[in-house]
Amino acid sequence: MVQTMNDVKHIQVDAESHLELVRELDIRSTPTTIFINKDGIEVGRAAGTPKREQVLEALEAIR
Amino acid sequence: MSEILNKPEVAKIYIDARGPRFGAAITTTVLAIALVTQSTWLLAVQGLVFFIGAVRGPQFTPYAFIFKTLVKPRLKKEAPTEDVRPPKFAQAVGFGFALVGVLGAVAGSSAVFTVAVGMALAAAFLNAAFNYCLGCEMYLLGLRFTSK
Repeated sequence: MVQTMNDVKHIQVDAESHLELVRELDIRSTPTTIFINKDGIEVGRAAGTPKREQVLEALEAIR
Repeated sequence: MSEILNKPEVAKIYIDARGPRFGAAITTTVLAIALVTQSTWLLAVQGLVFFIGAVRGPQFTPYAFIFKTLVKPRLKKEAPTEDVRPPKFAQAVGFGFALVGVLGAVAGSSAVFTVAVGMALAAAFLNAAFNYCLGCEMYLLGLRFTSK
């Protein structure tokens, strides 16, 4: 869905092969979606699969 | 949507996320009947299903077969996917409870049987009713603590 937005990049990370990162970011379950703004700062996160509207809302808030 | 799913080695560990929840609904029913009837045999059968789920994966259990042949073809929405490893671990947890329950019953302790089945039933119910998989939640937390 974010493929249609050319100003948004979606990266998926396998939690198990990055456990250090998991601890650092305090990821407790998979999947966890973290929204990062253009300055590289986390502005929101969703544990579990987020709904389409939630993703749109979160992205709208960043822009 | 995601680049990671295009990699074959990663894509093969992703399953239809609705499968395990459907399986949990059957598991809830089976465990509830086992609890009410105090049936060791029924718990043993459920334990075997857990065993298959824990060793081969939740997508290979008889419940998953029912899901694939009867339920999935009737579902219209695009299948949400999930990593198979947390639900696979959850099946192992379920197997642990089933094993304790069966051993307890064989040893003559209906209390052990009842508590073990009750806990497995509670977890299966949470998964079926609220899509909250307790074993899956434990999985990553466990890895965080046990590995470097």
